Amino acid sequence: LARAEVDRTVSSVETSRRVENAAPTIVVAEDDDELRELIADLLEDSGYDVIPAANGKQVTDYLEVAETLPAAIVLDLLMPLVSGWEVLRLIRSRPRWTDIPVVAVTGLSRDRPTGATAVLKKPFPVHDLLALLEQAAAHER
Amino acid sequence: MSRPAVLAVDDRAANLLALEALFERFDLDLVTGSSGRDAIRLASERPFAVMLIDVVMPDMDGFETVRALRALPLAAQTPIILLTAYEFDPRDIESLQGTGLVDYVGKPIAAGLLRGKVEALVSLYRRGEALAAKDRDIAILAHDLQTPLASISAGTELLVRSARDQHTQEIGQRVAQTVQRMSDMVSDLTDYARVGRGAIPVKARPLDLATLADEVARDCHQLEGGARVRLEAEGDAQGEWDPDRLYQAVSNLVVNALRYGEGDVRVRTAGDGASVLLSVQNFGTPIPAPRLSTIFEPFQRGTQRPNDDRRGLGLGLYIVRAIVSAHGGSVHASSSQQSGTLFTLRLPRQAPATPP
Repeated sequence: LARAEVDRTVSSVETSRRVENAAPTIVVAEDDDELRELIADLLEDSGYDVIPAANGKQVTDYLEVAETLPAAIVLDLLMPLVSGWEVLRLIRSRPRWTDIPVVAVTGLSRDRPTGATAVLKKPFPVHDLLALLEQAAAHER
Repeated sequence: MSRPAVLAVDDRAANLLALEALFERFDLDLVTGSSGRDAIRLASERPFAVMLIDVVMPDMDGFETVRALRALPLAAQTPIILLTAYEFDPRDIESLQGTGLVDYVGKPIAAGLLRGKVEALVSLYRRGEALAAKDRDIAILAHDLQTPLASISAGTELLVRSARDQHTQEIGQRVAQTVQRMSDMVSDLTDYARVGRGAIPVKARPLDLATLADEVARDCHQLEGGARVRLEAEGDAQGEWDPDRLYQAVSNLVVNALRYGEGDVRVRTAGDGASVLLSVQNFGTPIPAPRLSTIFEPFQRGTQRPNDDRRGLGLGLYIVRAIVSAHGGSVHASSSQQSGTLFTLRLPRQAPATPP
């Protein structure tokens, strides 16, 4: 699955890069299919390109091959294979990735992951997520 | 679940062999040592269901060994059976008071007696382990419930966005509120499962209670939109506590005050010698005395409002008390028309060490 997913996401990045004023790309990493697709729909509705990832490994696999880095990553902290915590640590330790804004998503209000640009506790109002991504995308430009 | 382990310590190899034979058919791991020092080394590596300790040993005798074991987090509460060939000096027994469950069996050992005691203690230990495992499972499952709630919330927002009429907007609003309420209940359930057995691990580090109160006030302001929290700090509010746990306790109190009170909420911190006080005060309908007396019990609520759609499970204050007790502190509640409803935490500046 991971390989096919990455191939598809890579080609979608290339497509979007060819378009003038391409929409900002957001990686949505969430292992729950339902929630990932809903967030993806909402973000696409709001004019973003979405790269879905169902675990932490798919996020880092994508970042390894992406020519243009995403405008932001929405990152669930509890995911199989490679957790969001691990992804966050990796992102902040690599010079090329370290400036990517990361919105961490968690079910526990106590979680305060270091390195996250912002933290959202599930369930969260989608406009909160959109506001955070807008800030992140604006910061990019 | 792994097999429960029983520690047997005796300086004579023959005695250890006899014990091994005694428990051969039991579903447990008998771990043996030949000195008090062995006992301490083994008991700091893993938890034991029961420890059998010979009284007469060279170097460190059984009594000394028990006292040293009680200082180890993993052995602080473990039942100990002393094995002895002679009558105790009563003063020796006195000296062990307050060191948890200690029993003894005389030598030569009556096999049935010792087996019976160990069997009973091991089965208690197993039950404790099963309860703890269940609490962990509930905490994980409750936490997992937040994800479908997030889907309901996001899905509703999607629907409301595409339908712009007011009726749909109102329904969407109501679903969002219900999701939030259920999410709060699930959070409470998660916490309840975590404090279920009363032993909350405390990871203490230096902390200023006034800073923590400020943090809670800011987060609650965001959550409860517009409600105001007034902070007052007096004297030195520094100590060593678990920041996550205390954040949870203080925010439970502040959120309650915002929800059930009227007007501003006052949060005061004050240094008081070896303790620090934190109080949360709100005005509005006071809590009746009979309710006040049981308010820290689980599944209780102070004020019941008609049409209140923000009812929780009534676990918030139970969790507050559990957290404060784990820090060696106390919590007190009072309520009257004149001075409002006041919750006061008293925390020793240094939280006592707790077994993990």
